[in-house]
Amino acid sequence: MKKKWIYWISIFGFLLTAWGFIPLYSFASQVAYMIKNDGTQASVNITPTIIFLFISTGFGLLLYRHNSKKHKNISLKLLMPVEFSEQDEREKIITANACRKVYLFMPFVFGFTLFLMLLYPFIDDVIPFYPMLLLFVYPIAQITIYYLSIRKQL
Amino acid sequence: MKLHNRVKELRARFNLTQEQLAKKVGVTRQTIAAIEKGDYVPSLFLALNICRTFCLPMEKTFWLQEERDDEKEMDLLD
Repeated sequence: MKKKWIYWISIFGFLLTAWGFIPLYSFASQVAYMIKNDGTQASVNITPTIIFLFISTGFGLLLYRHNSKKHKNISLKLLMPVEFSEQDEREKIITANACRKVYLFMPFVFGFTLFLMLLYPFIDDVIPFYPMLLLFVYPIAQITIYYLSIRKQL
Repeated sequence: MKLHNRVKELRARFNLTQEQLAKKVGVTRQTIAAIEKGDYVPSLFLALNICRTFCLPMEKTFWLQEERDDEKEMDLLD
Protein backbone atom coordinates (compact mmCIF):
# COMPACT_ATOMS: atom_id res chain seq x y z
CA MET A 1 0.00 0.00 0.00
CA LYS A 2 1.20 3.50 -0.77
CA LYS A 3 2.83 5.36 2.10
CA LYS A 4 0.64 8.39 1.49
CA TRP A 5 -2.50 6.33 2.03
CA ILE A 6 -1.09 4.72 5.13
CA TYR A 7 -0.29 8.17 6.51
CA TRP A 8 -3.79 9.57 5.92
CA ILE A 9 -5.47 6.41 7.25
CA SER A 10 -3.35 6.71 10.41
CA ILE A 11 -4.31 10.37 10.83
CA PHE A 12 -7.95 9.37 10.35
CA GLY A 13 -7.44 6.62 12.96
CA PHE A 14 -6.09 9.11 15.52
CA LEU A 15 -8.94 11.56 14.89
CA LEU A 16 -11.41 8.70 15.19
CA THR A 17 -9.81 7.66 18.50
CA ALA A 18 -10.10 11.23 19.80
CA TRP A 19 -13.75 11.33 18.71
CA GLY A 20 -14.41 7.96 20.37
CA PHE A 21 -12.76 8.90 23.67
CA ILE A 22 -14.12 12.43 24.14
CA PRO A 23 -17.54 11.15 25.39
CA LEU A 24 -15.76 8.80 27.81
CA TYR A 25 -13.68 11.71 29.13
CA SER A 26 -16.83 13.76 29.53
CA PHE A 27 -18.48 10.85 31.38
CA ALA A 28 -15.44 10.47 33.67
CA SER A 29 -15.63 14.21 34.45
CA GLN A 30 -19.33 13.88 35.33
CA VAL A 31 -18.65 10.88 37.56
CA ALA A 32 -15.83 12.74 39.31
CA TYR A 33 -18.12 15.74 39.85
CA MET A 34 -20.83 13.39 41.14
CA ILE A 35 -18.49 11.81 43.70
CA LYS A 36 -17.16 15.15 44.90
CA ASN A 37 -20.56 16.87 45.12
CA ASP A 38 -22.89 14.02 46.00
CA GLY A 39 -24.59 14.15 42.63
CA THR A 40 -26.88 11.42 41.44
CA GLN A 41 -26.66 11.18 37.70
CA ALA A 42 -24.18 11.07 34.86
CA SER A 43 -24.91 10.45 31.19
CA VAL A 44 -22.81 9.45 28.22
CA ASN A 45 -23.39 9.37 24.47
CA ILE A 46 -21.75 6.05 23.68
CA THR A 47 -22.34 6.09 19.88
CA PRO A 48 -18.92 7.61 18.94
CA THR A 49 -17.15 5.09 21.20
CA ILE A 50 -19.01 2.16 19.65
CA ILE A 51 -18.25 3.40 16.12
CA PHE A 52 -14.60 3.86 17.14
CA LEU A 53 -14.40 0.33 18.58
CA PHE A 54 -16.08 -1.13 15.48
CA ILE A 55 -13.77 0.63 12.99
CA SER A 56 -10.60 0.14 15.06
CA THR A 57 -11.33 -3.60 15.33
CA GLY A 58 -11.57 -3.66 11.53
CA PHE A 59 -8.27 -1.79 11.22
CA GLY A 60 -6.70 -4.15 13.75
CA LEU A 61 -7.76 -7.22 11.78
CA LEU A 62 -6.46 -5.70 8.52
CA LEU A 63 -3.13 -4.88 10.21
CA TYR A 64 -2.89 -8.43 11.57
CA ARG A 65 -3.59 -9.87 8.10
CA HIS A 66 -1.07 -7.53 6.48
CA ASN A 67 1.62 -8.38 9.07
CA SER A 68 0.89 -12.12 8.87
CA LYS A 69 2.30 -12.14 5.32
CA LYS A 70 5.56 -10.56 6.47
CA HIS A 71 6.19 -11.89 9.98
CA LYS A 72 5.93 -15.23 11.73
CA ASN A 73 6.29 -13.97 15.29
CA ILE A 74 2.87 -13.36 16.88
CA SER A 75 4.00 -10.19 18.72
CA LEU A 76 5.31 -8.71 15.44
CA LYS A 77 2.03 -9.57 13.73
CA LEU A 78 0.13 -7.62 16.39
CA LEU A 79 2.49 -4.72 17.02
CA MET A 80 4.48 -3.93 13.88
CA PRO A 81 3.24 -0.61 12.45
CA VAL A 82 2.06 -0.89 8.85
CA GLU A 83 4.19 2.11 7.78
CA PHE A 84 7.43 0.23 8.61
CA SER A 85 9.21 -1.10 5.51
CA GLU A 86 12.11 -3.38 6.33
CA GLN A 87 12.24 -5.78 3.40
CA ASP A 88 15.93 -5.20 2.64
CA GLU A 89 18.99 -3.33 3.91
CA ARG A 90 18.12 -0.04 2.17
CA GLU A 91 14.60 0.03 3.59
CA LYS A 92 15.96 -0.82 7.04
CA ILE A 93 18.35 2.15 6.85
CA ILE A 94 15.59 4.50 5.65
CA THR A 95 13.29 3.33 8.46
CA ALA A 96 16.08 3.66 11.03
CA ASN A 97 16.88 7.22 9.86
CA ALA A 98 13.21 8.18 9.98
CA CYS A 99 12.90 6.78 13.52
CA ARG A 100 16.01 8.73 14.54
CA LYS A 101 14.48 11.92 13.14
CA VAL A 102 11.25 11.28 15.04
CA TYR A 103 13.24 10.74 18.27
CA LEU A 104 15.17 14.01 17.72
CA PHE A 105 11.98 16.02 17.11
CA MET A 106 9.98 14.65 20.02
CA PRO A 107 11.44 16.99 22.70
CA PHE A 108 10.33 19.95 20.56
CA VAL A 109 6.86 18.44 20.17
CA PHE A 110 6.78 17.92 23.96
CA GLY A 111 7.70 21.59 24.52
CA PHE A 112 5.06 22.70 22.02
CA THR A 113 2.40 20.54 23.71
CA LEU A 114 3.43 21.93 27.10
CA PHE A 115 3.05 25.46 25.74
CA LEU A 116 -0.40 24.64 24.32
CA MET A 117 -1.39 23.26 27.73
CA LEU A 118 -1.01 26.79 29.14
CA LEU A 119 -4.07 27.78 27.12
CA TYR A 120 -6.28 25.31 28.97
CA PRO A 121 -7.34 27.61 31.86
CA PHE A 122 -8.61 30.12 29.28
CA ILE A 123 -10.67 27.70 27.23
CA ASP A 124 -11.75 24.99 29.69
CA ASP A 125 -15.35 26.26 29.52
CA VAL A 126 -15.47 26.02 25.72
CA ILE A 127 -13.40 22.84 25.22
CA PRO A 128 -13.42 20.88 28.49
CA PHE A 129 -11.74 17.90 26.77
CA TYR A 130 -8.79 20.06 25.61
CA PRO A 131 -6.12 17.97 27.50
CA MET A 132 -7.49 14.89 25.76
CA LEU A 133 -7.01 16.56 22.36
CA LEU A 134 -3.47 17.62 23.25
CA LEU A 135 -2.53 14.00 23.89
CA PHE A 136 -3.13 13.39 20.18
CA VAL A 137 -0.58 16.02 19.14
CA TYR A 138 2.12 13.51 20.06
CA PRO A 139 1.18 10.52 17.83
CA ILE A 140 0.11 12.82 14.97
CA ALA A 141 3.46 14.69 15.10
CA GLN A 142 5.29 11.35 15.32
CA ILE A 143 3.70 9.85 12.21
CA THR A 144 3.93 13.14 10.30
CA ILE A 145 7.69 13.46 10.92
CA TYR A 146 8.14 9.79 10.03
CA TYR A 147 6.13 10.15 6.81
CA LEU A 148 7.93 13.35 5.72
CA SER A 149 11.25 11.57 6.26
CA ILE A 150 10.46 8.47 4.18
CA ARG A 151 8.14 9.81 1.48
CA LYS A 152 10.83 10.65 -1.08
CA GLN A 153 12.92 7.54 -0.47
CA LEU A 154 10.47 4.64 -0.38
CA MET B 1 34.77 10.42 -3.14
CA LYS B 2 31.83 8.67 -4.79
CA LEU B 3 31.05 5.03 -5.45
CA HIS B 4 30.38 4.36 -9.13
CA ASN B 5 29.07 1.12 -10.60
CA ARG B 6 28.26 -0.72 -13.82
CA VAL B 7 25.22 -2.52 -12.53
CA LYS B 8 22.86 -1.08 -15.15
CA GLU B 9 25.19 -1.97 -18.00
CA LEU B 10 25.89 -5.47 -16.69
CA ARG B 11 22.22 -6.10 -16.03
CA ALA B 12 21.44 -5.24 -19.66
CA ARG B 13 24.28 -7.51 -20.84
CA PHE B 14 22.93 -10.41 -18.76
CA ASN B 15 19.38 -9.69 -19.97
CA LEU B 16 18.04 -9.19 -16.49
CA THR B 17 15.31 -6.81 -15.39
CA GLN B 18 15.70 -4.86 -12.16
CA GLU B 19 13.10 -7.14 -10.63
CA GLN B 20 14.99 -10.32 -11.64
CA LEU B 21 18.31 -9.05 -10.33
CA ALA B 22 16.63 -7.89 -7.13
CA LYS B 23 15.19 -11.36 -6.62
CA LYS B 24 18.56 -13.01 -7.27
CA VAL B 25 20.36 -10.90 -4.65
CA GLY B 26 17.45 -10.77 -2.19
CA VAL B 27 16.50 -7.10 -2.19
CA THR B 28 13.65 -4.96 -3.55
CA ARG B 29 13.53 -3.61 -7.11
CA GLN B 30 13.72 -0.06 -5.71
CA THR B 31 17.07 -0.85 -4.10
CA ILE B 32 18.55 -1.98 -7.43
CA ALA B 33 17.20 1.21 -9.05
CA ALA B 34 18.75 3.32 -6.27
CA ILE B 35 22.13 1.57 -6.66
CA GLU B 36 22.09 2.12 -10.43
CA LYS B 37 21.33 5.80 -10.00
CA GLY B 38 24.07 6.11 -7.37
CA ASP B 39 21.55 7.16 -4.72
CA TYR B 40 22.35 4.23 -2.45
CA VAL B 41 25.71 2.73 -1.48
CA PRO B 42 25.13 -1.02 -0.99
CA SER B 43 26.57 -2.99 1.90
CA LEU B 44 29.65 -5.11 1.24
CA PHE B 45 27.49 -8.21 1.41
CA LEU B 46 25.04 -6.94 -1.21
CA ALA B 47 27.82 -5.62 -3.46
CA LEU B 48 29.57 -9.01 -3.36
CA ASN B 49 26.29 -10.73 -4.07
CA ILE B 50 25.75 -8.54 -7.15
CA CYS B 51 29.33 -9.22 -8.32
CA ARG B 52 28.75 -12.95 -7.91
CA THR B 53 25.60 -12.74 -10.04
CA PHE B 54 27.62 -11.14 -12.84
CA CYS B 55 30.65 -13.44 -12.24
CA LEU B 56 32.92 -10.42 -11.95
CA PRO B 57 35.38 -9.23 -9.30
CA MET B 58 34.38 -6.29 -7.14
CA GLU B 59 36.69 -3.73 -8.79
CA LYS B 60 35.12 -4.37 -12.20
CA THR B 61 31.63 -3.66 -10.90
CA PHE B 62 32.14 -1.00 -8.23
CA TRP B 63 34.91 1.60 -7.97
CA LEU B 64 35.64 4.82 -6.11
CA GLN B 65 36.13 8.08 -7.94
CA GLU B 66 36.91 11.62 -6.84
CA GLU B 67 33.91 13.90 -7.31
CA ARG B 68 34.30 16.86 -9.63
CA ASP B 69 33.65 20.28 -8.09
CA ASP B 70 30.44 20.82 -10.09
CA GLU B 71 29.15 17.39 -8.94
CA LYS B 72 29.91 18.31 -5.33
CA GLU B 73 27.89 21.52 -5.75
CA MET B 74 24.98 19.54 -7.19
CA ASP B 75 25.13 17.15 -4.21
CA LEU B 76 25.07 20.07 -1.81
CA LEU B 77 22.06 21.54 -3.61
CA ASP B 78 20.25 18.17 -3.36
